[in-house]
Amino acid sequence: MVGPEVNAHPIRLVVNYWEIPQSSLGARLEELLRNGISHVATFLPWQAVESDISHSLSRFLQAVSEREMSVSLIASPEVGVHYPNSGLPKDIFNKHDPAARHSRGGAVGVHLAPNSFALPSLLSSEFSKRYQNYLSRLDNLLGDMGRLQSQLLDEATVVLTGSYWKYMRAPQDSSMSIFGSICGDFSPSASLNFRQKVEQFYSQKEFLDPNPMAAQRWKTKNMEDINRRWFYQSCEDVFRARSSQFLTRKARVRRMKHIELFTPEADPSLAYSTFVQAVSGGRADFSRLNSIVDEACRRSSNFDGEALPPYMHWTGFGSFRTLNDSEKQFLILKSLLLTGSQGGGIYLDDREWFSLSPTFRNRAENLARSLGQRELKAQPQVLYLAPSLWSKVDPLWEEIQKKLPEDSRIVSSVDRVQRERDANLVLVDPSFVMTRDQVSKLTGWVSSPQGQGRILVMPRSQLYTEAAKAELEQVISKAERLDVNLGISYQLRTLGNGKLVIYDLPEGSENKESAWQIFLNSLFSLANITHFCSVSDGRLRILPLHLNSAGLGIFIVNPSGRAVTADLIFPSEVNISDLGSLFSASGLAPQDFSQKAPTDQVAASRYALEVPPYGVLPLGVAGLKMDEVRFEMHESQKAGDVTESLRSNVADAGVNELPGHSAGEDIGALWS
Amino acid sequence: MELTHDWRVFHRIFYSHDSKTPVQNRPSPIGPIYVVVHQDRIVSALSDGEDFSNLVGSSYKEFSQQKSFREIIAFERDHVDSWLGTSLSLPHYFEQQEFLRTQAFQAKGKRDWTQSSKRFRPHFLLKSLQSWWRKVLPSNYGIYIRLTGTEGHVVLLVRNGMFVGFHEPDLTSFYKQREVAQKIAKDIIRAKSQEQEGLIQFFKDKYQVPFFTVFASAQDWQAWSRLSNPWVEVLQAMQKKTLKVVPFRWGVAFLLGLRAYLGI
Repeated sequence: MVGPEVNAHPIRLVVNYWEIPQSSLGARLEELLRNGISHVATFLPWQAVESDISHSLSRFLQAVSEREMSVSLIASPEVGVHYPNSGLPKDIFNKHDPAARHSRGGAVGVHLAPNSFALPSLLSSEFSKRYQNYLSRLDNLLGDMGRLQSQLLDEATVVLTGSYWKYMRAPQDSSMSIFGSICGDFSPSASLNFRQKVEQFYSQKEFLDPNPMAAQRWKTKNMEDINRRWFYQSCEDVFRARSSQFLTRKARVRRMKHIELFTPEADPSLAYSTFVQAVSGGRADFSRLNSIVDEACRRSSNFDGEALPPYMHWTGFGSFRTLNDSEKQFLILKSLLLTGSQGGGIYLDDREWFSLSPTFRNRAENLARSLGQRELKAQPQVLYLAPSLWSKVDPLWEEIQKKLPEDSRIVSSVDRVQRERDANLVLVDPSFVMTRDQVSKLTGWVSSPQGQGRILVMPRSQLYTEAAKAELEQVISKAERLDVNLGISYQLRTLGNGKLVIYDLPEGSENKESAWQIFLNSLFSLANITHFCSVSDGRLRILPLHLNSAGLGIFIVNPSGRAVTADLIFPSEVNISDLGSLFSASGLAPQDFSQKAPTDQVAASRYALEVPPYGVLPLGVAGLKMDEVRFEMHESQKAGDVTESLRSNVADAGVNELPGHSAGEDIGALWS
Repeated sequence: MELTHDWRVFHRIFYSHDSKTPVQNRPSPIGPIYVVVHQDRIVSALSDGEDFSNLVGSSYKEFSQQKSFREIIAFERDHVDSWLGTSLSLPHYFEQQEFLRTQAFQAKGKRDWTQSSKRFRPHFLLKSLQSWWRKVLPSNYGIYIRLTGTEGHVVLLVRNGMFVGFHEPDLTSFYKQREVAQKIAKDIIRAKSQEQEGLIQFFKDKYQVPFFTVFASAQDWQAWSRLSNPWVEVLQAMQKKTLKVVPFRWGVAFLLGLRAYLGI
């Protein structure tokens, strides 16, 4: 679920303060203002912050403030920064500071101008000390600025990201499957940290049950991969939290924002393509960049249990630069749709942006406005709970991807699931270590009064603590049980308004794929999830987005260089309309939200259409029965909320009015 | 603050790609297919204008048989890993990319490249500056290139044939010093040589190295950049005065002539 917060700037132009001579700073900002840009973003390279003797950052903020513009200051170390070593100080790379190692033992290279470099180990003690010093320095800098010239920070937002963690993947595996390896640092210092954390984690009382020796089973060699996944995810979460703490000590920034920033051009899965491009002098690997955007947007980060808005960053000096305008425009629109519909957007080099045609820029800006106002939003129907967002997951996820590629997300936090209100189906990865608290939270989500139609799918694995097993047993003890075996055997239990599915992991590799497919079909059927529509040509992709919760917009994207003619197939008869107004300055008209079909159009379940090369076609869909089903479920959830509130009010009234009656007591028994 | 290595400007001046040609007008793909292979499995495949994403993971042997009519240049993944790893220790992206190209070229041998029409073609000026010219040109110098018809301009600082800096210069103080500067900025090719020399003096004072300035039309420059040996055209442009090298030195003209007519 993404919060209702409005995003005023889904398209953010990167104007790095250290790249502009002071003498031309004003003119540059004026030029942007003339072009209608009132918000800019700049990275804060670590090295630049530490060596800023000419106070260029405060001068930049002064210039921005004088022009009543707003600015995003990206404070976390990031890749894709136009600064040597992407802004990291040189001393980070001395011999005493170990470099990060991916799962195959190699250095984690980032192959992007101004220089390819190896990522440092974020878990080494030397790095941690230096990083904390940098954050303290930045905190002091912003603190002083806030004290002496508070107006400079009035319209500034400090942005914190997930930094380098997601890029720590082996290119050998990532080139075959983008997130096909364990993502994390395997350097000696990180491994030492890992061992300590594993010892600490499994020394909790829950893992010592039934006897202290029981904890050993969680620390065996077989558990290494599983433990590493949650370990790296927790490292990333801690990194975010600490960065945030350091920057709120003295700094008086009014706004601090956590986001997920992804730079496809720096992704390890592109390493071999970048090499080939260097040798051939040719263009970038467009299809790979396109796939990276898809895969990255299917992962939903969180901080403190809240979903973070995802942003895609396109640099002006990486492989994106070599693409044709049509390819660039396609990637910009697609990443804007995928991220903007989740509350995020794109960061883009300002020169790249202005090199594109004014017509395209207008279209993109108008679409961004609708996305920013949350007129269009993604409401994924399926969540997949995995221990790590950026590591490989169970083959079950692959099967989900085949069926609902744009309507499912990987999440890595139980708290995030607990706050989920849109998705009906949550599946837990078999490598997830289950504690009592997690079982309680997950079953609480499905059995809550708002849980009408919710389905929770948990594997029967060895990764439950004794307390977790007991908790689960207790929760399901009174629930009705139905045993099903459709290739994969599972138990179906009714929990409150929702249902719990506990499935057995299939053994052997024979027919595993078809067994998963049958299993998924039955789950989708239980959760009332079906395709909004399908398309007869596999080259086209469909991005379903909800129009102000009152209808469905589908974006048909053609990532190929040729026009594609195909049929759009719906499960029932519908009317479709052109949502081209999304790209116009007027935005969506009220009739675009209407569920009523145009009077002069005959409803049909199959439409033929031609999508131009690198085209994005927006269509509105009216009359889809599934909308009604989802609407009914939504209403039913609302009714559940009202009933629960009424029950609580009646109980309170009972306690107040009926002598001898206390909360929680059975009123029927008291009456009789 | 000026960036020492401004890659946006560098690419724009020396390696700008044709991004405006509509997709439909692109010629049919005819160039070689570059492939990275590991144990007969394709890890990465790239060729301009073609999508080979569905080939990743498939058998290289079968692919090469199917595409026997096409030129395929394959690299072993282990070699590429090793080259990429080594390149990380080199200081600049330019050298890192050069290193990768050299390794790839050596690994395949010259014979494999002969048919390849699409192999990376270094920019004619950069290639020459790194050739034997480095022995006759000063060990330390700068070149200012200004392309008329666009806002493109770059300062290239060269030390022993290595490009130690490239960026857009900040000419604000120069503009303030001289009224003529505005005129120069507007039409640098037609400006009087005295005015152009003022600009050279400005750079000499700023960077403390000898400077050459090259003033050319953006259209010509882009056309030359697409050729492997455009020096004849360059000399012709100099004669027509659509290209100016300031200060003019017979020695430099001689070097250009050798390149143009003898190819050395």
